[in-house]
Amino acid sequence: MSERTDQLKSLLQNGQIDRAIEIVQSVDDYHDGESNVFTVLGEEKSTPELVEAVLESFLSTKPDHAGGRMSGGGHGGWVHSLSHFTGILWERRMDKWIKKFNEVSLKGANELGDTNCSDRLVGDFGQYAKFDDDPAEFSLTFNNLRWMDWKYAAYSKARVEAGPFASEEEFLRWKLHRPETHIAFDFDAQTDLINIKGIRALVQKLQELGADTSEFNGLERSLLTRRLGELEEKLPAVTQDWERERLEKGIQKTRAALSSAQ
Amino acid sequence: MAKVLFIDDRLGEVIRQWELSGCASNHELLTLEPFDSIERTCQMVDTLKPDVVLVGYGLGKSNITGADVVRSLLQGGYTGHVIANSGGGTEQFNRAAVTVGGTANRNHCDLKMVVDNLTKGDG
Repeated sequence: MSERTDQLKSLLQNGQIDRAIEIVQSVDDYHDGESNVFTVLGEEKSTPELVEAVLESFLSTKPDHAGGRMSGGGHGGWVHSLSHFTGILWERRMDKWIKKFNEVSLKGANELGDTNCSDRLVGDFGQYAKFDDDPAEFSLTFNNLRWMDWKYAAYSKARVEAGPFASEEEFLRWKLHRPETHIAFDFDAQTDLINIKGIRALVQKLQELGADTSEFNGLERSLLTRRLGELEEKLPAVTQDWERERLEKGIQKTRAALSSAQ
Repeated sequence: MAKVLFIDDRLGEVIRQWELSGCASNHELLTLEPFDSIERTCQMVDTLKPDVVLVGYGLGKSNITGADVVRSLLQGGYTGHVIANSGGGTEQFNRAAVTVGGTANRNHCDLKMVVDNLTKGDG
């Protein structure tokens, strides 16, 4: 941990907010800016003024030139740094700052041709957006995202296309129909398995809203049956022991889930 | 065949990078789990004995970076290959005065190239 980080933490813990604001405003570059953001957002004693100052300061460190593909730096390096803490901004729903950072990042991506890590900002929207969030208000329009490779961001693309939903119920039903919701990487089996926990959580939320969930009866069983078939089909072609072990574990877990499926 | 371990918090990106790279045809992907702590990482390296460790820079934890992980691995005596796997290339590792053996840049082509090149001479 750097001396500056230690100094900033000490000032915060001693309630010396004005001095802390001076420190964060004297940042050299976005690397220091990122470090300051983490320090400020991570300290309970940070005040709203200090949080504004540190984010404003990070914004001011954005380079006006594109970075190098191998060397990094530039606009894309700044967006990469930004992407390290956007999750915190979303979790705290600091919408003003998310919108500002998205606007600036995507403007640079389009004008400078440096799209490094801008896809992460799109993924953030997919992950965190509430039902009534309008992607356009977060600068996520298809015109701004012409550079985006959507092949591996199908859920985010669909979420941007869908725009704001009229209700939480409508959003939850939409999510339950999305194939990306049905699958999750299982860390025990080290392979993609049906996301039973996630599916049940969404159905429960619908039920808590008083919504009819009968259209999802049998969804688990149907998905598990299909996935079991896919996994079993792969098994004969596997040559490595470590792959076989993981696949067999996935099959075992899927069979177990099927026996208790709703 | 090399045993490859990813140290990262964005496992969706890592899985995609691995699947697209074609590395699975001649290398083994060791257990994936979201970055938790330097201690857990060192434990995984001791247990799994990877030939190659790919390290992201931002790991989703306040004040722990990939540079910190690399330092700890090297101080702990790890002698395998350490590769940066960051959207910022090696920039932040260099700034932190940490030397890595290559960079995969979160890119599937770079991943295959660097893992193959670093391990082709290994026994």
